[in-house]
Amino acid sequence: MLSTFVIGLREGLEASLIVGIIAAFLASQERRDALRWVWIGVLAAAGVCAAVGITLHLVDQELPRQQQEGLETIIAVIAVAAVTWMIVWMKRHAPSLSRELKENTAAALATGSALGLIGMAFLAVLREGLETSVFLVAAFNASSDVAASALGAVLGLAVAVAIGFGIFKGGVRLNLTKFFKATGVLLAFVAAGLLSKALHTAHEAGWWNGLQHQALDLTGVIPDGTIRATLFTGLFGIDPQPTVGELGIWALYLVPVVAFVLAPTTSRTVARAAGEAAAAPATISNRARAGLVGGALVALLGTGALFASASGSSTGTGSKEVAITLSAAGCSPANLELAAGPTTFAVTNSGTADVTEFEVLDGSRILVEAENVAAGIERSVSVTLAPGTYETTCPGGTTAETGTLTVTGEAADTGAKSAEAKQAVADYRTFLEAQTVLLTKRVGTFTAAVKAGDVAGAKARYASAREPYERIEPVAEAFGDLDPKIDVRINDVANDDEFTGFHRIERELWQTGSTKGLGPIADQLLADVKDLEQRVRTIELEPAQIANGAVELLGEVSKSKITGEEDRYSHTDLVDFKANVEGAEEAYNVVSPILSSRDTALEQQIAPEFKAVYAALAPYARGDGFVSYTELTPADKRKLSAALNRLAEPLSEVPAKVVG
Amino acid sequence: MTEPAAHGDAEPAAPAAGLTRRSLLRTGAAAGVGAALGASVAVAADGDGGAGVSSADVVAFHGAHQAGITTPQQDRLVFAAFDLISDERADLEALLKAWTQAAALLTEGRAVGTVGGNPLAPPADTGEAQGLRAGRLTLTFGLGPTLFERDGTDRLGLRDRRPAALRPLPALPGDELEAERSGGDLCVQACSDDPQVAFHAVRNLTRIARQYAQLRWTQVGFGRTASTSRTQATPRNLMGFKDGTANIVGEDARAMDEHVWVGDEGDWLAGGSYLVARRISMTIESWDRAPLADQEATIGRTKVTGAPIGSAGEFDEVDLTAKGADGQLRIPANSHVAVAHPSTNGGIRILRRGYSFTDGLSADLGQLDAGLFFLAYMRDPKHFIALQRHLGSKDALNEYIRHVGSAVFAVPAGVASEGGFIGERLFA
Repeated sequence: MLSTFVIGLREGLEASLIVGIIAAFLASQERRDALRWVWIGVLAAAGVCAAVGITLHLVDQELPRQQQEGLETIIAVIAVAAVTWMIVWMKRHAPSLSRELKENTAAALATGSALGLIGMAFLAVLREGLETSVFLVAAFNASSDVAASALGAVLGLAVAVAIGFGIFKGGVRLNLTKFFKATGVLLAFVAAGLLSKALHTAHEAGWWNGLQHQALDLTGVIPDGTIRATLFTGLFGIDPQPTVGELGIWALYLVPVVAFVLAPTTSRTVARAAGEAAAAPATISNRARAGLVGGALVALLGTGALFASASGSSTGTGSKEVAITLSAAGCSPANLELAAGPTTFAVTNSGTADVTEFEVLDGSRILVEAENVAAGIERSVSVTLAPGTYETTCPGGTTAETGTLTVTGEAADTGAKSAEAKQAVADYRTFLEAQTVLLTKRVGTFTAAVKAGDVAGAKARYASAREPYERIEPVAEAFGDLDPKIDVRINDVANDDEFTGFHRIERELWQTGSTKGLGPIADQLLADVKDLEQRVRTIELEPAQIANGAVELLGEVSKSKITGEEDRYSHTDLVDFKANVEGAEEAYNVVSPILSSRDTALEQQIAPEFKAVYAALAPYARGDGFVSYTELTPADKRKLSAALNRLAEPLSEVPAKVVG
Repeated sequence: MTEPAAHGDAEPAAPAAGLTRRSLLRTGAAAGVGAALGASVAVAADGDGGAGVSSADVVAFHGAHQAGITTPQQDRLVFAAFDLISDERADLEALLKAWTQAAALLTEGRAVGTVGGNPLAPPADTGEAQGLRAGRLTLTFGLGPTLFERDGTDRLGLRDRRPAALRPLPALPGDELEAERSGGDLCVQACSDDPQVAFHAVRNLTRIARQYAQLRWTQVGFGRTASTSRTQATPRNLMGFKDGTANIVGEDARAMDEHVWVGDEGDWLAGGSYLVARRISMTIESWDRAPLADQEATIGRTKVTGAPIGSAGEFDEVDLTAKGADGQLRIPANSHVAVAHPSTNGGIRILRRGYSFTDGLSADLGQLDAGLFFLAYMRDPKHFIALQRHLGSKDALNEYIRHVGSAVFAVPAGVASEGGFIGERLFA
């Protein structure tokens, strides 16, 4: 509850400060009539935020993070301009705003200026509100045992509003000059903080990546995640662990503006200000009105666009989901190894108030982050991971604050796919599914024979059970853990306990002629191929990957079939050989329509070579299978190898031709 | 083979109009565009195989004769024989054009294409010569007799263009040939002072050939066993003796014209030569157990100085009639020097360009698989045939050697200038 309270307070304080000061200012100027419009601005912004939050929740979508950060950056910059304008305006007019001039001032504070102030209130609330609303809606919808979390957030917001109301009330009682001095300084801090945050969100939006090392660390004095830290951040506008850029821009804004606010007002300034008092506001107000109304419009349009893009981008299909749990220690798991491609991190909190955020960093750049993950809240964030090494971080964690994320595999092509590409992927998917179904079926009868102790029957079924697997092996290898379990060879394992799958059974069948002790191995093999059958259904594929799979299949032949080491006990290597080539041919066939429109010469070069490889294999065919690999002479193997190389060489050029 | 053209347009020695690499660097630095500068340097480095290409390091590819024959013999060899997998004459022509284009780049120390580039495609150049010098690389191409006729068939329609002298070598005394180390439709002799440069060249030429030809056999030579220039000292072969003392040297133009270059009798081959390659295994273990006197009597020279037995200096005249105190010939009549001497061979001379090799341990016998990879250029293969008939039956050295590989190639004249290709006149 504390953590959500802090989140609510943090998100609400800044908006509350600005709105409170505006309200106080208007009240002290006897423009309580304009207050109504301020409330309308606040309510309108709150309404927009609530609508966005609820709708997103209803359609089960996430705000696209980068766009959201970008929009927040723009709004913050507009808000800084508005607040700065307000400070300057007050400085110029405060000394002359005596009782005698009150009526003039009231007149000077034309409807335009009031509109500007309303716009400012709107922006202030909108900026913080977007994120808060999503968070709150998620909190309210969580199950009953976490209702306390939601309550905490609401209380936090309420305290923030109360502080704003206090400023309003206090401000009304102060005389104008004192009010100006106090609020001017406070506003300068708020605006400096807004600028600093704008830089932060610009970084998260991927627009800015300079000066990102940490400038100082005040967490020793003001521990992160506490009310103290929140008030500090809210009032002074600076994070306890600012980067050099954030601290720099904060100071650059703050120092001159505070000096300006506190500087004694000369009589000339007073005179000029007094002289301008009647005329200036009208012009300023016009400009300000245009600026702020425009800003509000930008914000609204941006919100719309944001929402539209959120509806358009789906995070569900084909994306791997990785569960991350936040605890007092930090991220769990902190170290990850993932395949490249679309990935969704489902972040939950095990009940800590200290750690509420999960980030993936690429150097100093934030690749993806989930913020405000309080106990009982699940936040999912999606990103397309490119191969490389990243850092995971859960700020505030004790022992697992940071970790390493290793992403392997091919970079996914995020560009739009052509109709040809879609067709190729669809065709290959059909093939994959058919082969995995066949695999499950054949492995089922093979393992049944093994478990029944039928050595001869198992031996007879061994080679054909492997065929579907050998046709799609590179895809199986994409699931790092499955291929070793299914197809590991004796020389790939550290000790005999890890020797599982096809080849373990092969060894016992041919070496010891017994199925003793193979029951669990057979069960596991069947479970693994069933797992594979399920997993290929959601695999993300690109034509270039499919073509590369064809190249890899031929690489498999060169590495382990032509050397006779794949099936070293049964010597059924030629069955695997042919299955590898068949798999490569199917992968090639599905992408060849793309190739034929781009490189006819290459296509014509490849087509006869598949036939040549089958022709080279033909003399060794016996019945359904092939002769034992031990019957081949070195010259025979060399012929097969030459035919294979002639196919593999031009085939290796295909992936680059069918990309995109 | 589309890449080399893209990299053949900026000669390091004579920059074409426009930006040279250096001026590009200057411009970049002056403009202060760090990122662009890095990018242009990366591109330049990628397109240029050699870290520093100096003229002393580059043997000109273009010329009247192919380089790698009279070129002062380099220290390392990678030799490759290929089989043409196509029966189309146009394919042979395309292959020779592609090889010529690549050879011009490689001998200048350049890559045959990008080493970086498209992440989804295999790099066009394999990259292991990046940062290496040109290493006096020469690439010498030959055409085997089976291109003109194989198993009695005129496979490429070139039978009537076959030079009369280009026939598979007949069976010769001392032959214990292995088919997988013999013959070939085409050959490439890559010589360099840097073995990796030579290997890189053959490896990439093999890739370029993939549509047309595949490797039949290869041989790596790790040290030269001959001198083809007066500037070079005589090296020793694996028997520990100086070899090639009486070789033809490239500077001897008259001997070259008389004994090495094919004349007008060769038609399209005029200006070329014939190359005979023999893989000669030494039974090193037996040789090493032979007493010094026996070794010297076998060769006919003194082991330490290289002088003919009974003489003081290496280059002293070989006197095959001098007798010792015991009344026996000082240089035994069956010694290698005596049997191979031009005076006993009707004045036959050839240009030897061999290399010592080892391929590790022979798997069947557990003995060192090492010896001499004999390469020789001559005006007509009949000269080698005559020599070997003589040597193969009489040479005392035969006790220690076996000829296990054999091939003969017609080596066309050189490519005079850019635009031409090796063997062009064959297709005219």
